[in-house]
Amino acid sequence: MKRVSALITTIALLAAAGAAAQSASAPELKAAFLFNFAKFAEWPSLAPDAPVAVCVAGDDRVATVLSETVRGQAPETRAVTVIKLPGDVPTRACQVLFVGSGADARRRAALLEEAAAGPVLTVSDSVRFAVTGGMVELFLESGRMRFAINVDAVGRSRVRLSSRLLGLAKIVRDTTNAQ
Amino acid sequence: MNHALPRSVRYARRLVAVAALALGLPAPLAAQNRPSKLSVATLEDLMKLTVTTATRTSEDLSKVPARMQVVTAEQIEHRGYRSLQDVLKDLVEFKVDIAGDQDYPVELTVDGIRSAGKVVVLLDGIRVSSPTNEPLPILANYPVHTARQIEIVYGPASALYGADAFSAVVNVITRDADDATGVNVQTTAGQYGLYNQTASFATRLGNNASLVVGGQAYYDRQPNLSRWYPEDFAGLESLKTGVFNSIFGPIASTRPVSPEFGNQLWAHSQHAALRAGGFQVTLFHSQSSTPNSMPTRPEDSVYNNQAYQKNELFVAAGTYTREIGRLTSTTLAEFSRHEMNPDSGYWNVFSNFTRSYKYAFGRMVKGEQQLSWKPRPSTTVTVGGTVERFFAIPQTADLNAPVESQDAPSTLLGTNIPDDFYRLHYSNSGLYAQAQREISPRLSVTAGARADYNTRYGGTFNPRVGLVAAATATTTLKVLYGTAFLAPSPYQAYAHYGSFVSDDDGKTFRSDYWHLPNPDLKPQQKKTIELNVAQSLGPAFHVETSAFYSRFSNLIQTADADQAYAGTYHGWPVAYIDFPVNEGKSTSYGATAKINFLRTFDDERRLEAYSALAVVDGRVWNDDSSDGHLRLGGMSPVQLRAGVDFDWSRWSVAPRLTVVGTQRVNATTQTANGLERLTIPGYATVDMTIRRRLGRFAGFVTVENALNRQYRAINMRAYTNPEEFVGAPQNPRRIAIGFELRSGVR
Repeated sequence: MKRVSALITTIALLAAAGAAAQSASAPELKAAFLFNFAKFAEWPSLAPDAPVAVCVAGDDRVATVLSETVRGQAPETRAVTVIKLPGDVPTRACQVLFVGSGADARRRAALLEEAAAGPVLTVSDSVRFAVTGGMVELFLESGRMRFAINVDAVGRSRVRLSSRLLGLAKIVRDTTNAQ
Repeated sequence: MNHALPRSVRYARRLVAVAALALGLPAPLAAQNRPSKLSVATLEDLMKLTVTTATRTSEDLSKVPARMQVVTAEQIEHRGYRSLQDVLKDLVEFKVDIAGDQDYPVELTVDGIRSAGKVVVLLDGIRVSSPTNEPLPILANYPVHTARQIEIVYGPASALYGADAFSAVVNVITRDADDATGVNVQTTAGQYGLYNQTASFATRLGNNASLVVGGQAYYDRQPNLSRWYPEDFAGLESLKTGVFNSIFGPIASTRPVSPEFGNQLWAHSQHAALRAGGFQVTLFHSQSSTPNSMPTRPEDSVYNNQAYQKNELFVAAGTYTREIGRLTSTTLAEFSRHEMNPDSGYWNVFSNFTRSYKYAFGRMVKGEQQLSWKPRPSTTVTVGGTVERFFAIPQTADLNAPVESQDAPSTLLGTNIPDDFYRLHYSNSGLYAQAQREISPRLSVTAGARADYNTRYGGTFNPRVGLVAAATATTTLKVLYGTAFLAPSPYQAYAHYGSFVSDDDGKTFRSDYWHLPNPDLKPQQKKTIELNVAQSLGPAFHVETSAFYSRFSNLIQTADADQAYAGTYHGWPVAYIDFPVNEGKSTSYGATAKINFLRTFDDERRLEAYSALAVVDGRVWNDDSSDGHLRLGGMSPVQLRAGVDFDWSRWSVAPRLTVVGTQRVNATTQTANGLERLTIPGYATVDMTIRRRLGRFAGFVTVENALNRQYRAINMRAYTNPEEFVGAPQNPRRIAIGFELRSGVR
């Protein structure tokens, strides 16, 4: 057993001295993606230096992590504020609306319907979100987070997305029978 | 900036820092730093990261080419599960029989097929069942309290996991610092001397690493069953007098017997996981002690807390995962050691009411290399190889004294004959390959196979094919074919038990019976085809139905009476000798239907309800039966589970119903319809957990067998062995109260 303990200790020390971080939790990644979406989108009625309001519903962990994330943002980047829904803020005041898959279906539908009235970038981790009228869908592929963008839905919303964002996304359309 | 944080969070962070300091660890700064780092990460960087907490939603499960179920941390918390036994008991595919067998005090039947030895238990993907498949109880010796989720894969899985992944694979995935940092302590006390304590601590070490340590201590004095089953225990007269009216006539115990009923069990476990970049080191240790009087009648066994099986398991494993372009390399090194404590043993009619001693040992050293290549987004090819070296001392016969050294066997009970004390060195080499291809967004195919060569029993080959189709937007269809093999464990192949008697004070010996080893035992084979349909019915309802058909060959039977013989053992005459054999074949078939309802009313109210029905049967080819077969034994053809997890603000309530239909044992009887299995009645029980959160604290009450039903579980020797009850009596209603403190940050 002593030899085994020595081996384990050695492995543990090697591991502790080990490699760079290659992983993150799902809520952290979702929050980081939302933070980036806010940077790579433009809204017609929002001044370029005005803060972007990211509203989060149906996933408290994402809301918490995103709040931490914006506290750590660099001062030269565009300011992002985080609003946890439900609150006293109407959905149309959000520039980005994230509706987690844990949200009740009726509530999700109501939020998205309200968001459709204004230029709001809607994001969700619900399956088939993008091909059923949502704009950006976060999904897992081989253990990594990816995103799909419904360019038809984005076009209707008048939100403009940067080509860099579109270049990294899986592009779907209203008629795409995929995902 | 901390002033902006809630007081509870600031306090929790201070606690974490203090705890980290106490443990000699760096303060967990990463909790704040990590999001800051991610806030400057580019999209390209984010897309390179691996998701460590890949929450298994129903959508994710629908894509897995297997019949799979996930029990989440929230469900474990709501339902007050203390052990893996509690978790499995609520799954309709499982039948959990408690106290029905001395070696398997928690026996499992999965999809109608009996034996916990056919279920592999993993901890974060690393095997924590006995390395040589000696029996290990399934109690609080597995860390359910710190599980993020428990994944159960039903059906044969030897194409992935090799030997013994026969009926199911249970993978306990522990939480890490991504889930929560800080300390979590829980204490429970219940009726009839039940105490359960758990503690865990998680912290980040810098930006790249995390450490999780946890432990559990469980003690259960257990109820005095003679109060609830007075006819079975007959007032415990034998304990009071010390003279046992056994099946062989009155026998006085060779040492004093306490008149107090004793049937205690205990278990504890400790584990630690250190993750750093691509490295992970896992340490796991568990011990358990289970009484072995049940299900023997009190006239044939001493219920005194002094006859038990004590098992200890230690596992250490290190993995390193590295990405090289489109190639992912995973290297595993594992050491596993199991020992049945030399103090273990029996005190019953077969040890002539002398305390006997047993011993068993198993050790495994394993190396595995896996390469996963993704030539295009829709295709993944995985290949791997594994080498395992084993050393085993299979369970000994009943001995006179505890084994003091692995080099010095003890003598057979009541004799001066040394035990055979087999010492087995063997190895296993395996190669596997699997390809997954998404043919279209609606259709994916998985095909793979694994070949193993074992120096004890030769080669095996196990293919697997799975097809997953999204038939409609709300319907997923799976067609699965898989195979598995059950290795003839040293316990099965080399078990030897029986006894000698002497009529001339030890000069000569004779015996009525010995069960002797069969080193030539071969693996048992299983082939299964399954159909699984998952259907969403609106936003709240989810329905899943499965049907399966399995064929088994080369069955490992404990003995064949036709091959038994009169002979000698150690040079002394034995009237009846039998041994394990590969003989016969069987089938099993069945279907399960599950309906789940999930509704979140608002941020404070959430309702999850579930109901599951399983109908299973099968045939065993049998020469004694007029039509050549018998129905499966050791199972219940019909089972139902139903329950509700209801959250309302700070309260949660989780009532659960278990219905087990008529239970078939192994014994048979001749009826007008031919040879039929004998049965014992089924039962219905209700368990309930109520929980109340108070900030960082939570209090909970768990009621088991809330309706106080008298019921019995299967013991396979019922009817055939007169020293055993017909059905193992089960515990009455038990109430336990517990408290939890969570100082961590989630």
